[in-house]
Amino acid sequence: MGVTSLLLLPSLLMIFVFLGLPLVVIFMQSLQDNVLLQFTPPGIENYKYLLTRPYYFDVLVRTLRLSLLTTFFAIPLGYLAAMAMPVLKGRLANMAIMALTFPILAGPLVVILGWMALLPDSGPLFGPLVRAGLIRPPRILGSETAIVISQIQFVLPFAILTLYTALRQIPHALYEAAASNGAGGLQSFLHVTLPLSLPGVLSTTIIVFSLAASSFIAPHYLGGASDLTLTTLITNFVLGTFNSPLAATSSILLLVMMLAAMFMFVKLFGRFIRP
Amino acid sequence: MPDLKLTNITKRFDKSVAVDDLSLSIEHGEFVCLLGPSGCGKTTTLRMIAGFETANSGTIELDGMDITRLPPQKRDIGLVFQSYALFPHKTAAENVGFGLKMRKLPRADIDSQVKKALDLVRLGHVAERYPRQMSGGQQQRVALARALAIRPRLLLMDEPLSNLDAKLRDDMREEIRRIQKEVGITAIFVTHDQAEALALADRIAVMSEGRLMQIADPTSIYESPANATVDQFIGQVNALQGSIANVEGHIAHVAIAGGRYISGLDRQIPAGTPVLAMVKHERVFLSRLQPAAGENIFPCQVEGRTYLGASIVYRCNLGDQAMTAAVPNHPAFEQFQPGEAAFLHWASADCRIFRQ
Amino acid sequence: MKGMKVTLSWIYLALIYLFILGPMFFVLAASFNTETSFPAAFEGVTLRWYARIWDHQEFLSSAWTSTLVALVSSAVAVLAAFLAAYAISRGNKRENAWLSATLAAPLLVPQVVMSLGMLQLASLAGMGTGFWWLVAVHAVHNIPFALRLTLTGFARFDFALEDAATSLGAGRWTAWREVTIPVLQSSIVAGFTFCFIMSFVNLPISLFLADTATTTLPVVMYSYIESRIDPMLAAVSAILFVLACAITLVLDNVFRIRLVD
Ligand SMILES: Nc1ncnc2c1ncn2[C@@H]1O[C@H](COP(=O)(O)OP(=O)(O)OP(=O)(O)O)[C@@H](O)[C@H]1O
Ligand SMILES: [Mg+2]
Repeated sequence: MGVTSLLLLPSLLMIFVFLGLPLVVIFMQSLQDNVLLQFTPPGIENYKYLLTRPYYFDVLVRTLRLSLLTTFFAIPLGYLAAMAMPVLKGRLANMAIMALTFPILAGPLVVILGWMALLPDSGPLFGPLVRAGLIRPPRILGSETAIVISQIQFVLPFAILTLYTALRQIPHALYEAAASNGAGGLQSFLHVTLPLSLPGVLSTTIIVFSLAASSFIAPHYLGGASDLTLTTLITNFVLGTFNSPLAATSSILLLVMMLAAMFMFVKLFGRFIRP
Repeated sequence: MPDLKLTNITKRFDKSVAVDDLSLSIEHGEFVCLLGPSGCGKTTTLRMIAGFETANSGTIELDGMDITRLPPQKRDIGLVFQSYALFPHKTAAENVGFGLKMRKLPRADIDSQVKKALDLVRLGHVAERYPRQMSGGQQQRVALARALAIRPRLLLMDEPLSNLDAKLRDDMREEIRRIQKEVGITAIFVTHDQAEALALADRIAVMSEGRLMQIADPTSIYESPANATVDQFIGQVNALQGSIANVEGHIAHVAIAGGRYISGLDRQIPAGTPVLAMVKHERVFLSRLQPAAGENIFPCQVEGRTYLGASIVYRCNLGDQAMTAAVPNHPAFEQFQPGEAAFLHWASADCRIFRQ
Repeated sequence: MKGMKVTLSWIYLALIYLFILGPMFFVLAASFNTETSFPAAFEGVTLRWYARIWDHQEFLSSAWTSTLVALVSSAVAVLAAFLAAYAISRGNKRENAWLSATLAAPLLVPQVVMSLGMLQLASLAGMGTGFWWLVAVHAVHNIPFALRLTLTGFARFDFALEDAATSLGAGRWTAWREVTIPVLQSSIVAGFTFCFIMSFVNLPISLFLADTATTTLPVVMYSYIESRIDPMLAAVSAILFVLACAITLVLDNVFRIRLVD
């Protein structure tokens, strides 16, 4: 047993050195002074600055709002899809599962390009309606709506895959037992499917939320210039204004926000999960 | 000189004791069954002999050599697993030849020995098949051939037949015994199926909660079990609670509830000691007429009847204790219906008395 | 009633898949469009955007860089994950919350944050980032994916196979080479392929950590989009999409190896 545990070392070492250590460095950096804010380090001036300026505070709130909206839509949509999945049989079911990985594997840039083609007022989605005078130009592209739509699309495959796995693990005999006890479709769902899949829903919620909060390409390309999120803000600090300490501070804020949200999800769902 | 000798072996996992101070020695060419309920430490014992687990204390000797600390790949012990553990990406022949390849034998020697081993288990014709292309029985025999191909000093089998259906199990049982005799190898066979153990073994080692209860030939194990645990584990047995009343010669009288006395073989237990009196189901007779003479004759009421084909099992009440009699399904024996009154009787020689 | 439920399920799934895959088909369509702007109405079919990729050396050389980074980082990730999966599957089965959380962390920490940390670490150490920095972060980021796929393989693996090999005289390493690795081959290939593609198309990590010599394809696409979007970019994207689909389908149909379970 002792020797076998040593095999965990390479992974753990890699994670500590290339993830843990950088996080520590980020935290140290976030306490440093910079071109914008002069103080004797270490200090929490950077945090005070970002949290008290409405502009930056809005970025934080927007990130939270977009991620929560994405999660809020993606979980039920994915859950229903995972429940509908069993109507597909054999090769088709196999294909359907594989097709879920296509957007993941093609990469976020390809997917975003698709939305950039689809969403303009003159695009294939709204173009005909606008030209026919049926609707006014909706101006979706460059809005928070566009970000949420594309984020939902981006996280849905992950959501469906994990929820499908969770639902499949419920023994079929339980449904038969429920039915033989006179439970109808809805009751069987409320008393068997939902409670037993809750742990799966919880972990899916956490994954989906972190994917949404970490997403950087969607807000960058589909949002308006003022629709910054924490990830695009970090990128701007790094690649635009070269302000390392503020980039680090935004990163810590993002991590704290994500941890808080996860904690909240665990509390929220935990009350309904029976051990 | 014994072939395999375990001395005071103890194995603990975390806090639980899986094998407790076990000593055992096995003669050359002997076929020993390790028998016991689930979780009693059979597999752990076998894995210590094979070298996959290290005993916390005690020694293991093979052919007079201490192998307690020898790594498994150096032990030359053949193993047959419950799941067969055939390499799925290798053919039957490659599976059987694996151990020889590890020993770096020349190609030609490997081929001829593989052929010999497969012929021994009568599977020469499936040499080129992969495990998934073979039936359970065939896989089982390939596993046996693979273990024997290295000409091991000892053959260990852990419930090798439990994945087979009943009919095949009986055939394989014979087959394993034939091959073991033919090769003349010392073998340990783990099972929790007592019929298997009784049919196969030269000697049976009964384990319970990590301890060795008794090791003896099948007849002795069945007819003169060393303690109540062994008695209860082998065959079907009635256990009557009571206490020693008095002893006459080598017959002890036991007082049981309802002011009755039963007699059994004395084991030098002082009077007044609480005991269990044990009689196997098939040694209890049931008759309508009161037997003319003898010990242990009691009127009773038949309460239940279970038809088992070869025998019929009657549940009777003896005061407030239950007593079961298994009667051969044969015209020479009387049959009863629930509710009938009858007489139970059994010989003192068939009644063993153990401390509670 | 039951038939109705089935019909509704079909319709719902069709809509969901349309939503998930639809945008990429517009990219495919745009890559064949004769119209020179993007997005644009469909005018006619041409292959000239694909031909034009050859005029852009930076796309080809960066694709090669991406391949190298992906190859090395996936190999490292799969190796580390395989060892960890072995330890987890063979060792005590008790769930260890800290261990699972640590091993899942690279999936949950935003890539932007991870890369920023490495960038700051590099500047703290007075070094420039480059190939190996990229490889390291890609590898760490991929560990959870590789781990998941190898763990699935080990869940079906009978450890008695290793004991059998050992009892027949194989040492620990020989048993691995002869039995464990060949039997788990398809999980290893699946893990490697998945990591390879994820690394190949990754933008955030490469954007932060690539230097001029190690610009990857997604970074080149990113800077290209910053200046203009044209159907040639759609052609590059279409190739990525078709490659991803093709690899998945070939693995599944020819080698019976699945990237998802
Ligand atoms: N690796 C282990 N870690 C902790 N405890 C173990 C381990 N292996 C076995 N045990 C414990 O040791 C005891 C004996 O187990 P063992 O497998 O030897 O029983 P067994 O007699 O083979 O049972 P069965 O008939 O069910 O196979 C059990 O209580 C088991 O839970
Ligand atoms: Mg066992």
